[in-house]
Amino acid sequence: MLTYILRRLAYLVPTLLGITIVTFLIVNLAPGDPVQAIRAEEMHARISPDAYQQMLKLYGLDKPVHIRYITWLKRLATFDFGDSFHSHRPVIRLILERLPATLALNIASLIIALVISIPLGLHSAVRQNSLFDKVNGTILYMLYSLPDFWVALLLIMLFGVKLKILPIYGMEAIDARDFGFFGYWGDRIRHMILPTVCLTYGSLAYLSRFVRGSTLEVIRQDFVRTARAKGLEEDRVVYSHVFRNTMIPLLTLMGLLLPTLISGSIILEAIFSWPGIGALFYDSVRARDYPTVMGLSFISSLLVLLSTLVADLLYAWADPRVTYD
Amino acid sequence: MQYRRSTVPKELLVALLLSLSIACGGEKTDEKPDSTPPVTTSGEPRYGGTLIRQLESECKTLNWIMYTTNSENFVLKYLYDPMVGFDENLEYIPVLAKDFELSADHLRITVHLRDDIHWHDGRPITARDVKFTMDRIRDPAVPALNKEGYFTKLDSLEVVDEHTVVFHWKEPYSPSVYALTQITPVPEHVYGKGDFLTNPANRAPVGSGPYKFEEWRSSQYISIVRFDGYHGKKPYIDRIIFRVIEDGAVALNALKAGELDEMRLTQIQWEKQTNDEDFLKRFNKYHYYVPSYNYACWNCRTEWFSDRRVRLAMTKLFDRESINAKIYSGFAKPVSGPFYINSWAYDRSVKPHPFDPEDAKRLLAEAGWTDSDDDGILDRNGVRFEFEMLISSGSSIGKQFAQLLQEECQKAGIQMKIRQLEGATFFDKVDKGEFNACMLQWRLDLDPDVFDTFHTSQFPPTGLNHGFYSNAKVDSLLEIGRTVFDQSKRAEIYHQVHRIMHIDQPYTFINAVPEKRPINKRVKNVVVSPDGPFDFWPGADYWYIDE
Repeated sequence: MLTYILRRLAYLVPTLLGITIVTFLIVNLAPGDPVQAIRAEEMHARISPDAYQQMLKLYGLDKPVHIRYITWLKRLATFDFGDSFHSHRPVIRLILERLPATLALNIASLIIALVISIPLGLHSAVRQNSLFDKVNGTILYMLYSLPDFWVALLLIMLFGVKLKILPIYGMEAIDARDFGFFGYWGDRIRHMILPTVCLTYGSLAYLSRFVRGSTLEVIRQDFVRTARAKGLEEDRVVYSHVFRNTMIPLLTLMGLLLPTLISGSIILEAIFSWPGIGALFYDSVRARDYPTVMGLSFISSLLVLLSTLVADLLYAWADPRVTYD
Repeated sequence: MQYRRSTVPKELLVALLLSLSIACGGEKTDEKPDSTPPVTTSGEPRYGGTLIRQLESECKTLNWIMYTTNSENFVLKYLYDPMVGFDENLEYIPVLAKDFELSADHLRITVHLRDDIHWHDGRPITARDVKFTMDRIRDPAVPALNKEGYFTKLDSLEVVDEHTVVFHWKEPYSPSVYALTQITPVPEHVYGKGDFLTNPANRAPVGSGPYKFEEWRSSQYISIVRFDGYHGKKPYIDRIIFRVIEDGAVALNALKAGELDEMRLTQIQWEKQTNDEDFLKRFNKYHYYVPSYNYACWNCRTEWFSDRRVRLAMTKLFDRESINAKIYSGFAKPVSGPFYINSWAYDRSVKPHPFDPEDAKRLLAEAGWTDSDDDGILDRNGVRFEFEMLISSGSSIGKQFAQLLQEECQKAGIQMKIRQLEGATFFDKVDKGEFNACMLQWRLDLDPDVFDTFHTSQFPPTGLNHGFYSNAKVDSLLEIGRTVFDQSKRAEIYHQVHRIMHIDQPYTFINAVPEKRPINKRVKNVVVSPDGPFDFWPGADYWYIDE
């Protein structure tokens, strides 16, 4: 097992290197540069050509792209992602600053999605083709097909503007710190409700269909028939025998979902003014802030690779038939 | 010439010395937009309250030298006072300076600083801070993108004593006085230590304005509070909070929910979503023309647009009236030249060319463009009139303009393809002059010098004359324009430029679109200059809140 893990980790290095080369090239060779991106925001007539050239030089953008890549790689070896071109703050600080907001939203959304969709999926499978299964499926697919930015605006209008019961943007009220401990966290939770709902409803269809599918596979197997033949109650059959086996593919899926936890939703974060990673990534790409873009893509590719590994290991742990020796 | 600050309180200051002013002179009444409510004073100003403003994007830095966006400017405006600013009539007004004077040979500007001015940490503001600021602006290791261009003709800056600095210019250069307004001193004792780019003060600035920095929560808000040691009159509002709300629809909801006091509206929001009784009861709606205009640039190095008659024909195919009616419901002003419509440099006697497709066809034929092979597309010497119009994906309005033009082109036998590119990509092409035609917007200065955008020496890839426009007469007028200091003489020069360009049509000057801003009626003492409620001095510093 250990050798397996070590071998997988060793594969990680060339894979990562390949990924970074490709992303670095794409990011750097995309037309435009940080200065032009600034001008795209504020078209000002007086930016002097000298200032422009100086700025390119300052950021090392006058050097050929392979030299820039090597410089970036050298810094990375010391876990230094460099400074943002625009705010001149360390990229890692920018990322860490935004991470909690995105994590909070994504974890809340994932938990809620699982809590809702696992039972729905199980029940749909057990009562396959029943009215419940059909209605459930239809509703979830309808939700799935509603665009989130549209739903978000409708919810904002209803709960924020008409009913005035929920805050409509940001993470906390301006005077949140004067609310006391419970008031403060209550306010935070209230701010999370709308974005979490928008982030969650679309994934319900996918997750519950996934659970339903894998349950259906399990439910047809011999050991389930045996369990029923022994005279076990249906609930025990479903929840202890079927469900456990359903969990195996779900675990793998969870492993693969890990990287999405830190990747923010660009649109929803923008709509709710949620200070997360999605907004940071979008802004950095638009601003051609190469160090920040590279920092974010490096971290997310690393997480993808690691989580595939974790998913494989979880699989072996959950299913004794699988070994990696 | 002398510019002296009077000793009366600032709010009573009347415009002094006008010979170099940027003001729009007699046109003021005509520029005050009809629907703009009057100054909202009601009785005695009250102290206290919190004002909440919108930021359309997260600030990258609060370093006054390196900032690049409007959002950053909004915040910095309260935190720093300029050495010299503009008052509500867009005339020069000394702020941190007591007065300033221009030498007879126009090569030196002497600025006397006030001796009662302090940084937010209590240290005095001195001539050395001005010198330090200037040195950083000109430092190659400091990206001072928005500032550096004003000082290319500055020779040196001399500190005479604690409160006096002299700017030595290489040659008589009339935008030099305007350049003064572009230096807002930053504190040497704060920024002089360590790396300028990563200085902690970039996120917690020590300023000189009526408000001081309080807190910055990334991507959430920035708050500032009244600075009690301010040299000028004490501002009324206790705290100003800038909330980052990037989405315009959400911001409008926040405004209606009372969570914002003001914001910038889109055309549709202005027309359709903010005219109900409740909204009008709670908000004053302001609109004003900031110095900018939309235009289509014709690349004079292409087969088609090298001929001024063709460019003129394109202008005549451009139905600006109907753009104004359809897209702006009569709200935008057609422009005919490259200057700010509220500036003395803009020649109001030059009326925009009317929409006239018949005349356009005549001009095209005159220039040799005819449909010789009967395929419905004009051609000349075997070249078809088929060109590509670049637009930036950021501007939805650009696309609407382009589509209207496309229809008219089609009718005239010209095939125009629209190509939409993402912001930075678009500017990459434009900067290199690699396009047939493109549509964009200039944001102008209050000084009318347009040398950088139209002089022959400013061709791409290094200059900003994207369309390779070249006219010897214009060149010499632009050269003279930056050496003449007398405003009426200078105005005459720019009026000539305006008239020549009206004939040459290097651009199709499209229109100036007003910025639209509702402000909650609880906010009083809102003064709107021709340039809007913020970009003058004291701008929004003396708003107060009366519920």
